[in-house]
Amino acid sequence: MEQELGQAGMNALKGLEDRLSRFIQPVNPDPEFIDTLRTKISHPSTVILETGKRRMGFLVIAAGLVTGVLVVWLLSHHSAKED
Amino acid sequence: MKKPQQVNAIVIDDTNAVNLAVTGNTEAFTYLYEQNVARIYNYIFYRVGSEVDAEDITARVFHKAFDHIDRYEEKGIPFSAWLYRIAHNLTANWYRDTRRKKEVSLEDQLDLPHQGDLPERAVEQNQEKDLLLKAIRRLPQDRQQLILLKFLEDLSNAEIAIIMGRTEGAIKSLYHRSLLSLREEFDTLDTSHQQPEL
Repeated sequence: MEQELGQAGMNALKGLEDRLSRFIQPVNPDPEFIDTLRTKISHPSTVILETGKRRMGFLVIAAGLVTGVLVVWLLSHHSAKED
Repeated sequence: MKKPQQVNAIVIDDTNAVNLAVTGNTEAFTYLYEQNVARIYNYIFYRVGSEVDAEDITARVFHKAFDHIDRYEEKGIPFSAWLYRIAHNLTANWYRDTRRKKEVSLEDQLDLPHQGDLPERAVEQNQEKDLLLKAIRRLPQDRQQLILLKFLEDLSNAEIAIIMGRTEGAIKSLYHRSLLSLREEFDTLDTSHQQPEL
């Protein structure tokens, strides 16, 4: 690295590192923001999903259809056996 | 170091906070939040240059960490390193979205004090800082991350290697390349800044 850059190049990089050390200093976040976020994290809101009536209706219809098909199949199976 | 918290007869401190948080202990996660929020905020602030965006992304980092804490496995990676990785990914998303919208001007990017009130030397220093931070933000994301972890957090190459998921040697090499490209970017900005307006 040093061979590639030469002394002048190394000095320039050293100067850049010095500037980075000088200018990149920690900043203080807004205390209000810190407090608000802490509250949100320590008291996470519970999300309750309501099951809609429409969804329940579909389930009842689906269950009825399945039952109906099953009854028809059982009857036809039974009558086929008797024949 | 922060004082240990005692909640429901369990003392939460640096040694057990992560394990408790992984099991869903909210108080332990709050403890980890307080230990890490300022450093994560700082990292993001220097990456994006705006308080509002830094607060927004910091909040997302901790919400994401809270939601996925059960996925955290220690395996030699400190909790803070895990947070930095989340912060890096969310900041990368922010860059992607922001670039789609517009090129943000330098004035928009930096929350500097009103320069008219400052002595000449302070104004010069502010301009220098301004250009340097802008030059950093022009670097590829991994180089920005490396420079900020080194100068803001004062982390060693070994610690940065853990956060960035690379070898120590790779970090050392990337650091020198980052300095060289940063110098180029800074010189380019400085030259264009000094050119008189026509």
